[in-house]
Amino acid sequence: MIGYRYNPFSKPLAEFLPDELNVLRDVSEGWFIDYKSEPLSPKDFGKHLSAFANQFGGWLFVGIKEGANKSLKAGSFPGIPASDVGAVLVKIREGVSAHVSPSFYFDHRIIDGPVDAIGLEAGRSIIVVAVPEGPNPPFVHSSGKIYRRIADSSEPKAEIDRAVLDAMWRKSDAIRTQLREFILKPTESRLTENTYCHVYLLEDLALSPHRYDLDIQGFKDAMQRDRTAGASMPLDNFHATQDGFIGRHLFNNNPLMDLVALRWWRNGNVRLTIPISPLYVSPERLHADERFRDFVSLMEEVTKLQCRILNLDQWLFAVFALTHRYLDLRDVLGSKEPIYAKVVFSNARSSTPFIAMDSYLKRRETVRYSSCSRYHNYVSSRVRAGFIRFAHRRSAARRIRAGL
Amino acid sequence: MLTDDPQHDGFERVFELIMPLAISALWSLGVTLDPANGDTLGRDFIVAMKRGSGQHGATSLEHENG
Repeated sequence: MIGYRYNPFSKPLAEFLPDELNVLRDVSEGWFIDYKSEPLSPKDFGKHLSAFANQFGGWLFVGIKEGANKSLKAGSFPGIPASDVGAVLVKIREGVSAHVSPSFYFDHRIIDGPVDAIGLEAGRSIIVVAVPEGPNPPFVHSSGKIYRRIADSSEPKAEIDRAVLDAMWRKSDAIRTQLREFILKPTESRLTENTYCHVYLLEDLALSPHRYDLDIQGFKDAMQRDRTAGASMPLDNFHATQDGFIGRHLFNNNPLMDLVALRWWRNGNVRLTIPISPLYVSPERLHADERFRDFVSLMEEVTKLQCRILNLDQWLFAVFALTHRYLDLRDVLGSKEPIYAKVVFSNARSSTPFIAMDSYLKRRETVRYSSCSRYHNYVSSRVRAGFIRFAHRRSAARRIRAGL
Repeated sequence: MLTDDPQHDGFERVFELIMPLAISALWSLGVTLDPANGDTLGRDFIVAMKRGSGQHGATSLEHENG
């Protein structure tokens, strides 16, 4: 679970039973909880939910009434008409996407009646919206105000205190700095001449210390599941660390070398390490593959010198195989959190990439020689390949499954 | 943010999740794939994957680093 400092159900949003809403009879509205008996407008949803994201995160319940005598605890569970749920969800999404900048992650669940334990009738529903603490506050409302959830106040407070606003910015900067160090640390500690790729698949941008319980056998099992189709690369060498596990692809390699590896932290974050073999052009190193041979000949002709070629066929294979293992692990842990990703290539400078894709090789015949100019290359999941028309992805995947 | 769709299974799920990021990563290294022919990319990727599997005995990568 990402960023939920408080969870009234002590289990993930998708897993608590409808009956367990009963615990809310003992939970007061406050920093983390807000009860609404009726749906709000998109603008007001944006206001209330951004107030949670700006503070500590929280839970908004639509269709729950507070108890009598201003107890602030859940008093009854009338729900809203089930037929209205779709329209209310649209309002919630619109509230977050159109009325808050930047928008933030939230999750929701619909509890449909009848649920006798709480008195929710058939045809009525309760909407549960969970907002984790936002990693990059402040989240600004379309009114121009920055709202914060303050104790049991039913109305979020529009913040005008300069010190508090500064603290929000510092929080955003601190997380950014922490993430940057986390991502760059292994890159900067490598002093070899070899090229490495680190792929970060992150569920927890706040880098919390502990979220998932898993023993090393469970980790091993996930890393060694049988795969009959597509990329398969079982990890066969395991270490436990203070905060997670490492699985490496040892196979017939020297265990002292840097190997293909998957590092898992107990907060759900993962780093894939993929050494990329540099292939120095010499007759005995020429690959048997015709397209690779042609590529090397072209590079020799262009450079008149020995050139350093990065074999990205292996890289692509390893990325897919390890990502498959990572998804196996998510299934074991029951994680449905969003995934943020970053790819870092280290020491790729002055190398020329090779990948056995016809479209690329054909293009290189025209472009001739080119090489990476930067020492580190970064790509994040925010930079999507939207500008590349990538047609027929699904059909391509189906063909792979079919073994074509 | 990447999209993990558990409704997809096996390789298709991996493909949907990681391929856009992998393409961006390849671009960063200068592997400028031909945007005018999206179909070629998918077909070539399959070829590359099959080559990767066959070449390395399906489950292993031998390193030349270190």
